[in-house]
Amino acid sequence: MSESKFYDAVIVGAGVSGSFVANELVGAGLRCVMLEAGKDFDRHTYPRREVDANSVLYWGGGVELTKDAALALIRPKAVGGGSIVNQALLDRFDDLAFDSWREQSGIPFLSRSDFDPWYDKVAERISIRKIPEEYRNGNAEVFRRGFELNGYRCAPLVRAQGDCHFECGNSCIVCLSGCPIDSKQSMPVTVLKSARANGLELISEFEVLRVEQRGDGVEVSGRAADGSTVTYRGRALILAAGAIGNSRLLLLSGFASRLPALGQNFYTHPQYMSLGFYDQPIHAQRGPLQTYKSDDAGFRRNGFKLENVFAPPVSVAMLVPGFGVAHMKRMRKITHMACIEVAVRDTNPGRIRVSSRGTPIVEKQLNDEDRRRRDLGQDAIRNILLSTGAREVIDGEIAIGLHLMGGCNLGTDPGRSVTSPEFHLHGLGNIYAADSSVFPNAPGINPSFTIMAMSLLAADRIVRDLRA
Amino acid sequence: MSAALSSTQLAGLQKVGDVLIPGDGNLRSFSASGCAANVDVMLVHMNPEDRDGIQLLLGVLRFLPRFAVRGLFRLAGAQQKMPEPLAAVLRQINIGVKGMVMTLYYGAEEGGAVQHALGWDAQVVEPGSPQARRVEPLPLPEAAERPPAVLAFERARAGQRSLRALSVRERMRYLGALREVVLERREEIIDRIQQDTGKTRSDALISEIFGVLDNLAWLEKRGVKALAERKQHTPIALMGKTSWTWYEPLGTILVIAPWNYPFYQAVVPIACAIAAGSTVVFKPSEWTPLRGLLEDLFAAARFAPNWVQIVYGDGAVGAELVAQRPDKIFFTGSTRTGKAILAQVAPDLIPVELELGGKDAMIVFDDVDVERAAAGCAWGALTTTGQSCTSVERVYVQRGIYEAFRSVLVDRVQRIKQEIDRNGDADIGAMTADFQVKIVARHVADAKEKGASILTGDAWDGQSKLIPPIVIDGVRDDMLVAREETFGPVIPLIPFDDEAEAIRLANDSPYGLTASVWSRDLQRAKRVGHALEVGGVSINNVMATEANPALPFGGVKQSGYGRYKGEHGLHAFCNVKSVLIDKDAKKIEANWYPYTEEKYRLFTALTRSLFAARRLSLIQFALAGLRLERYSNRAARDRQKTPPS
Repeated sequence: MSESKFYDAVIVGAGVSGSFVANELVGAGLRCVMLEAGKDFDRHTYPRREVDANSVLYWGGGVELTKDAALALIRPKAVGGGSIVNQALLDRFDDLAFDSWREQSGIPFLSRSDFDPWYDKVAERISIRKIPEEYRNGNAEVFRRGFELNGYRCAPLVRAQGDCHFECGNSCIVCLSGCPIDSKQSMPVTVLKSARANGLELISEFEVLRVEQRGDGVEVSGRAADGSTVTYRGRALILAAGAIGNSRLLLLSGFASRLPALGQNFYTHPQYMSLGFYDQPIHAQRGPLQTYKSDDAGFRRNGFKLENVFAPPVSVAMLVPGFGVAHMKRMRKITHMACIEVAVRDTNPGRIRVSSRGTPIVEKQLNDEDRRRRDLGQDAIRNILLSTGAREVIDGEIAIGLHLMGGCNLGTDPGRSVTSPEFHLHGLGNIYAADSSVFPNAPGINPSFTIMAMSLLAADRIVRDLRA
Repeated sequence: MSAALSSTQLAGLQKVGDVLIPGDGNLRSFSASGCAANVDVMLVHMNPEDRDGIQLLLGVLRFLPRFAVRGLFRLAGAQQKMPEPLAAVLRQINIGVKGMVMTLYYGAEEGGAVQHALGWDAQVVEPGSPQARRVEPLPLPEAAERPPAVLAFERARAGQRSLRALSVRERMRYLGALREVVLERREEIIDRIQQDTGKTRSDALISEIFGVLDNLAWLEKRGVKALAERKQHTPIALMGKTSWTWYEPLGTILVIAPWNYPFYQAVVPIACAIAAGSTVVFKPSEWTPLRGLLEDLFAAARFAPNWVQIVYGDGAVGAELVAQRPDKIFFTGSTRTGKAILAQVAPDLIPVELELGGKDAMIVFDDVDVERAAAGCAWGALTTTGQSCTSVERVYVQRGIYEAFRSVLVDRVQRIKQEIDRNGDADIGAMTADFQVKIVARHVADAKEKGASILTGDAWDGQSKLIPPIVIDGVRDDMLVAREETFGPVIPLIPFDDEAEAIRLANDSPYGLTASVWSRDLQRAKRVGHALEVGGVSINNVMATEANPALPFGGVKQSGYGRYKGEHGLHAFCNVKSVLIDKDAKKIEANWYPYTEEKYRLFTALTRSLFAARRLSLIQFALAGLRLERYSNRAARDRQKTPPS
């Protein structure tokens, strides 16, 4: 069965980009529907057990592995997307990131000065704060002190949050499966909330499986929560399902031949966590989950950054190598662990394909340079943990990719890119994208802020296109 | 029960679950915890391919014996050593199955027993909630302003904590990285050395770049063994114990470098210190700071920034650094400054290694190949424009070949090409420092005044930094060129008659760094080598001991003391810690209290049996030892029974 409603824009994906674009579009009086595969949770209904959170909030029931299983991809699936499960860390890109984007894409407006006004506009829509250092936990103190002892440079993180009430002993690690006090500036309590108030129609638990250009418009069909197939039509389609989501949808819809670069140029900032075991309690589970980031010119030059992180017990159990009693004995020290990860600014692009059953297949490997970057980071982590008194340092058994970028990369050349400088796909004037899938390469900086800014920038053009 | 798994697959899950989570204390086993009941939550949301794989795997695991399941996961844990695609399969199994088990066990419990046992207390509540805890803010430590010398030591001492925690092998990986960086950026480094010193590119390549690489490679290859703990002999009187030496970091070492080899004399001592686990505060000469270069190279070799602190400045800055009480000072430079440092640190008893000046002699006997000896002489006296602490500064030639040697030498020296080259096509370059040019001018003028003849380089104006090679004949003992360190391209020739005279002349110097002895008769050459009061001797070669990274370097007399380079030199950067390990037991040692007349008698018997030169003493020693031990323990018990006086 199908519906006959006709929209100005059909938006696929209720994550950060979809929410920001939708908010601008409905604000301009355009009629929009947003389709989201994940569920619509609120602070009272977020899953609290790790088993539920992993199963319900992510594609693939928790993780999806790359083809050679060297990287566990974490891909959120919920109304709000990454803003529900991430740490909401916001960083503007530096010149290094924009310079390499311009070089890769040939697009001159990918620059700090062009983006700064859009970053500023984002800051008008969500609350952005420096994480209060005075509530840093033992893990952050290890990070800060270890940087100091070794002469590396770090800086406090900036985050999209309201008041997290750390004075009440709140632990942000809980908010990795949704913030129970709505302090984290997740889309459903900020931008998406305002879009819905302005008339955005949101359909959750709807998995889009096919998009088509039909006459002057687009036709989007998929599986609704009740299992029925429903089709939505509109003048324009906004793809905001992320790197893998967008690429998969376009591949399933047969766009591969029209867009030769589709699914290529995929990057993840591969992350490797190391654990230090201390005699004294660290309590990395308490307080702000993260307080500091590396702010070291040497690290940046060498293509990696370090983050002050931790993970809930299941993930820690996956990081700790081995099994049996030895594994359990290490798990018992979970409150005595400090954890630092290296995030690699990866240079070796991966590729997204789809299986015959429609499941994404991701080929993504590290090249020698990426491995070198990882090793440099792990060396620095070792210095930091050892200098602060770790008895033992172990590198985690699994690597993760959660900054999923590319697949529909921006560029001027239709042979080597998918998305044009006008933010529509090459040769497809009414199919737009402005989420992380359009990133030309890995910036080495958390993508969220730039996804927001770019979505505002793109929305500005889309509104003009749709009004014309 | 599970809707998504068959009973066989579920049994497989319980089995593998118990292998991975067998239980430990108050943490129950996987199956006993009942967490498998949540498995459907996981399976429902999986990609169909993954679900099929997991189901298949669990079905197979059900029928594998436990040891095989353990073996499989051990193999999976070692996947990094496996070839692809086997490694990929193992990773899939590990993440898929271990992931499922860990998720169910650590992430699915209702009661919170596991999280409680782990002390996991993460929560988020509204203010005013009854569960709210009270957390006091922890202010940040305030950073006070400190002078550069204080700051440098503070940082280097902080850097000690990570460096000393690394194994020697790990530290050597950093030196390996440094070697690669130096090798790759050699031309850039040579540019910088040339800018600061005015030496030729070949001088910089051969002495500084090659020398640094050679020493780094030696440290990488031999350093691990040289710094490994070493079992030492334990004498029979200490039977049952083991004895060791541990080569431990000293702490933070102050390295002060001279201007003649600004790169080599910086990197080699710093590398030795790093290898031995000590961090470094380094002060280059204000004449040749190579500003920013070393920081850059160490960063590229990914040294933690605090490991090596570089402070620029003159002697006053050096004195401030010395005042920070480093754990050791490694100084290369003039004898005058060396003495000043020693005087400054005397109240604090800070150990100092001094590599000071020299007036190195070359002794040429009449049985040598004159061409080779003269060629060696030219290089030894002129390399780096004569500004090496081990430059040949006095040439003693046996009278029989004196004239032949002199004419060959003059001929060779006249063909020397001198300029500050761009392509490696020059033999000698310029002098580095104006004050040293003045010293050379004074020495040459003094020689002329006292009647010596200048065979080459007489055209030098006494001011240009491009001092040509100056061969001087008719040199007398009272001339400055024969007594004081000239540190320039000056070659004083002095004839001698016999071996004894050569030794006397060579040793008649306040300095004693190195020397060379040239003779076809190796017996004689070695004999002379033994007789020379120096820290190093090259036989039939010149400045050659310095060229081998395995040989320690250093002098005697006014040339300083202490040795660096080689295993012996590496230990100079260590706290060589002696360790004796005994077992914990009830036994009392024979030399402990109480002392009694009887024990005195037994100990005397033991001493005599051990040290008297007699056959069968070993048996006597064993008997005496047994008696003494038995008595000592009895006596100790007896004494404890008597009331304290």
